[in-house]
Amino acid sequence: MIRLNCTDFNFLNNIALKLENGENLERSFFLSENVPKEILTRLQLGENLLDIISSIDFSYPALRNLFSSVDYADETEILERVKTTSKLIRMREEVLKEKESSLKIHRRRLKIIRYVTMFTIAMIAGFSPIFSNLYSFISTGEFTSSFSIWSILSVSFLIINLLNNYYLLKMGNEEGIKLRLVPVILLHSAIVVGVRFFILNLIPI
Amino acid sequence: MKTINYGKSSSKVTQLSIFPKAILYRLALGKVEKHSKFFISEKDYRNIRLIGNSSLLFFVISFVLFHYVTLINVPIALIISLIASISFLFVLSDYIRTKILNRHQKFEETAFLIINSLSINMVATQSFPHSVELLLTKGIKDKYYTKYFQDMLYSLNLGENEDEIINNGGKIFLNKQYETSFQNIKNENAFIESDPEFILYIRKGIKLIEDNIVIFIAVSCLLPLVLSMVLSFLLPSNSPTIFIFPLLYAVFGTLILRFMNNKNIGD
Repeated sequence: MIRLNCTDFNFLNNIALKLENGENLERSFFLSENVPKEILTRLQLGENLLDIISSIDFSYPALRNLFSSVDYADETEILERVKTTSKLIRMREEVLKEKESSLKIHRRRLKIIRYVTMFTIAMIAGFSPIFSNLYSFISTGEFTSSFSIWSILSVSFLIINLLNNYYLLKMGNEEGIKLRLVPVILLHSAIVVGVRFFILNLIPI
Repeated sequence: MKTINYGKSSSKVTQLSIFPKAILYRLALGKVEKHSKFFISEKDYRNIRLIGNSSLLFFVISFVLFHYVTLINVPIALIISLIASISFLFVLSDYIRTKILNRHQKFEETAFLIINSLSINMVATQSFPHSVELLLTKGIKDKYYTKYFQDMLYSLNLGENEDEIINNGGKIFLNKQYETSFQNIKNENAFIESDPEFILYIRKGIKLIEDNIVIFIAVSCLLPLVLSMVLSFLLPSNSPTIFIFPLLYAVFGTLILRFMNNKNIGD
């Protein structure tokens, strides 16, 4: 697959302009400036144009269908339609870009929230033995349960943390969510273990 | 021409469903079942049935685990295992739901190009079967479109009524504008010159996120924090009852995501 070095709209518009000037499809590929060299070389070698078109990596894959009857008839109506379609693509690209940029702001917000909640939950998970033993500690001055690092409580905290991260990532329409959850597991465990060691040093049992 | 549905087109794979299928699909897919019916493949249905059946298994296992192993009384064990199986069903079926929705969206995004190239082909060839053929020879990347138009060409070649095919064939687009365009493919005005609906749709999506993000953030921040505080204060740290909280959170979070999705696809 060959990627174009311009947007689909520009490519289509250029080709349509060249066709309008009376060139055929092959020549308009040569004349338009933003066609990658690889395509031109393949054209010069005599490869079938239709094969080449189907190997171009358009962001709208259905675009190659537009060329299906361009070499059939050189009517101006067809060209007019190709041009209108390219305008439509541009409008779509613009509105999608708008969406992208407004999502970007939210993504930044979501990222901050994600990290803050992740650290807080992990900290609470780390300190949880103190909380859960609070009553017994107040009344008897002793901790009843041990400070083992892997308890059911810490596992359920880890699940809550993972879910929270998952939902926030999904809300931001991010990609590669599963991969991003791996550092969460590592960070969570690191914080929990760190806090536990801190408590163990602080409170002699 | 009969409308093709990929939910029924592939080979018949029979799989027993313990729950009534209609209720299960309704629960798992919700609004999507109606909205993207065409895009639900037999494999999706099979997976949903699998999830439904295994959620019952999940229920039994968690009940046995909680009641006999940790020795809590029957009602609490029942409640916990019920929550466990519901969250299992919800979370996993949401995964399938999103996959179906993505498939549908990708399909709709290219619809206008398909119609426009068809209408350009019509201008060039003046024959509907020939234009469909041209459309197919260029190779449509989307396998749903390919299959759809192949079937259409097949029934055209069999000599079925062309006007009828054109009339019914537009149903695939699920968008009134595209549907009428396709139905008018033989006339000059089939060409799509602007699609305000797409722009409105995207804008609506942006607005939806902007409006609901505060609610979502509040819920997704406060809920896990409050849950974890309650957890650590009230419960002994090694009772499996604790697992009820992450499970509850999973149900809540999935429901919120689902709510957003529904708002996005609804009118």
